[in-house]
Amino acid sequence: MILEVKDLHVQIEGNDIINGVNLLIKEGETHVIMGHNGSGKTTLAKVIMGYPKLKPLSGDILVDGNSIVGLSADKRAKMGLFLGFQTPVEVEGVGFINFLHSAKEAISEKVDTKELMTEIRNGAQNLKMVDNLIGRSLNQGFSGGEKKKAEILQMEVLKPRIAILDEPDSGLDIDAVKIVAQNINEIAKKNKMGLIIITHYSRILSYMDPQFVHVMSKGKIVAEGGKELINKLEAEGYESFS
Amino acid sequence: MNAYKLFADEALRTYSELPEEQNELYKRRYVSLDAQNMLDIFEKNAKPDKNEDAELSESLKSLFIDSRMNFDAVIGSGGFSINKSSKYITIVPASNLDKECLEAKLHKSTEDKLAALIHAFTDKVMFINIGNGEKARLNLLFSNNKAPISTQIIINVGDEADLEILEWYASTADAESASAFMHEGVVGKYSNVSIDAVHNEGEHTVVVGLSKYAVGERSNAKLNYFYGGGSHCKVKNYFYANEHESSVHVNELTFGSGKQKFDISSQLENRSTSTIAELHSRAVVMNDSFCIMKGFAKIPFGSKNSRSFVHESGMLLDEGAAIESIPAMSIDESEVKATHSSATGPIDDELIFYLNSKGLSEKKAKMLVVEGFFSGSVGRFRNDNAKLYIASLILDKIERGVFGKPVKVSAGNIWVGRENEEDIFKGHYKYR
Repeated sequence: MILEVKDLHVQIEGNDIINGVNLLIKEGETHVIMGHNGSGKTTLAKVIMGYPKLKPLSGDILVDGNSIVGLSADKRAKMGLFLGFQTPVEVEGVGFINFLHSAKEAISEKVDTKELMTEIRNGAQNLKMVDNLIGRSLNQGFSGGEKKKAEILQMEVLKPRIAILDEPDSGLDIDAVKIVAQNINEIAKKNKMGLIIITHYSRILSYMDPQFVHVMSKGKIVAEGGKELINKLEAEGYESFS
Repeated sequence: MNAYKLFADEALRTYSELPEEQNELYKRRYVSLDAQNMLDIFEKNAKPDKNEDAELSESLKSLFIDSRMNFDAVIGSGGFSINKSSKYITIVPASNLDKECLEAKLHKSTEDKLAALIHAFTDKVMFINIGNGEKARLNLLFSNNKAPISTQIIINVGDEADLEILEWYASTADAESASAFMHEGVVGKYSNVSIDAVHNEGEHTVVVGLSKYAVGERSNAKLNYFYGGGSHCKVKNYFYANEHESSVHVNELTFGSGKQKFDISSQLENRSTSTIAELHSRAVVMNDSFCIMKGFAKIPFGSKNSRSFVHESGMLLDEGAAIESIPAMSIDESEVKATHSSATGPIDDELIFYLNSKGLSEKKAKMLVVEGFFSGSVGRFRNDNAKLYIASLILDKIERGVFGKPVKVSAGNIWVGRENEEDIFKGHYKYR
């Protein structure tokens, strides 16, 4: 799968939030998007995933050469896109397992419940999630860190071809950042998944091996490079890229 | 026929005249019934149909696919059909009973227009008597398949007794019809009573209900209601934690679609010391449906160390749908804990997008959210058949927007196990 963002412009209430972004992501690649607060990272992730309230003003989003701008979020998910949310929504009364079963059923043709349960149990163990977490309602009563781990577990079960993870490290303690990063690496490697990691901080990236780093400011990609760009950001801050 | 006239005279004012129901909002906001139309329905169609029992048993097979239920009593337009092995139920013609006594026991026609209607058209009264120390489980079916029904049921539960009643209200009537019922329950000491009522009347049926339960010393009543049927559903329930350490737990679910209108009024009263009275009311409405939730709790002076709780929450699935949630309390005693809350809003767009982004279609996402919203309330029903059936009705309604039809039983994603008790005061402002 190749995901291509071409000269994308998005406005919210007349303000330019995404201002001509270009990106090309292939399966198996790991990209990082960094940038200060309000630089447009989350908006970009939501637009790629098909958030109905954010329609591109111009430009295009292509999957394998075909525009997906007119497709709903669930159709994009079925094509192999995944968004790990910065702030996962709590869903009252919907069991985590029931939800995953329904989502898996929607994406795959056939679901083997026994296999699914084993996969969920193993995934939760690898992520060192609290024992009873997966028996509870979706994200309800989860701590910030638990919610982030739950997103990664969803990614493992749903096996997208390209996953966008919006701040998978926020709200995590030092040990949890390492666990989450290791799990993301393993899941991506096992499934030859493309990754877009959106983050403010370099800590999670010290456990990962991204090939492409993009720096966003004012809705644009203002710098691109390899892992060395992360060190430059650490040293100089986002100011120098504005 | 005075009662008849009382109801007919005021076409659009069918709220109660009872002194405890003087809340101005309650008076102004109600679902109006066309009184003349209601009377016409009963007058033209209320002819006992002796052949109905056989037809009913046939229709039951389709109404309760997979549930394999046995009924202790079937209440249809042909009258009451009682399973002979059920020793707890007796039927008495209304004409054999002292009219004034009956009105005083149930509701007076002069005070409540709905009562006037039901008294006017009920010809037989059902008595359910559970003696001291006895345990009983009863399944009752109310069907207005062939013609409108009006029923009165008087329940007497002795001391240290245990009663579980499951009430099914169903019809597939394709002409204008009505299902009217009036209940009175008196529970003795150290007893447990649970009543699960499932309303799935057809789209041409007007549902009218009045109930009154008084719970005795150290007894516990759990009353669970699902309202999903009827074109109009107007129900008023009164629950009294009558004596020391008695408790009343009321759980209501309302799910409206099409142009259904619901007016659900529940009044709770802690009438003695150390009593508990609580109401959980949840409503989801879709299409152009409308629901009013009126939860009212009263703690009179002298009911020290009592607790009362009214919680109403609603979810709107479509722009044309509306909910009016009017929780209210009247507290005259200071040494009590009491709280009320209300929250209603449209389904959260962020939530739908979250579920969409994981591959679920908008319809499936809404289904999950509604199921989740109702899940805890369905879990409070005592009878597992009722839970399964309600879960199926909810699914059917979201998927196809239909009600009052037979459903294939499926729990969907609703958890049908027991719900854990929770701290009802958690997160709420408390009066102490």
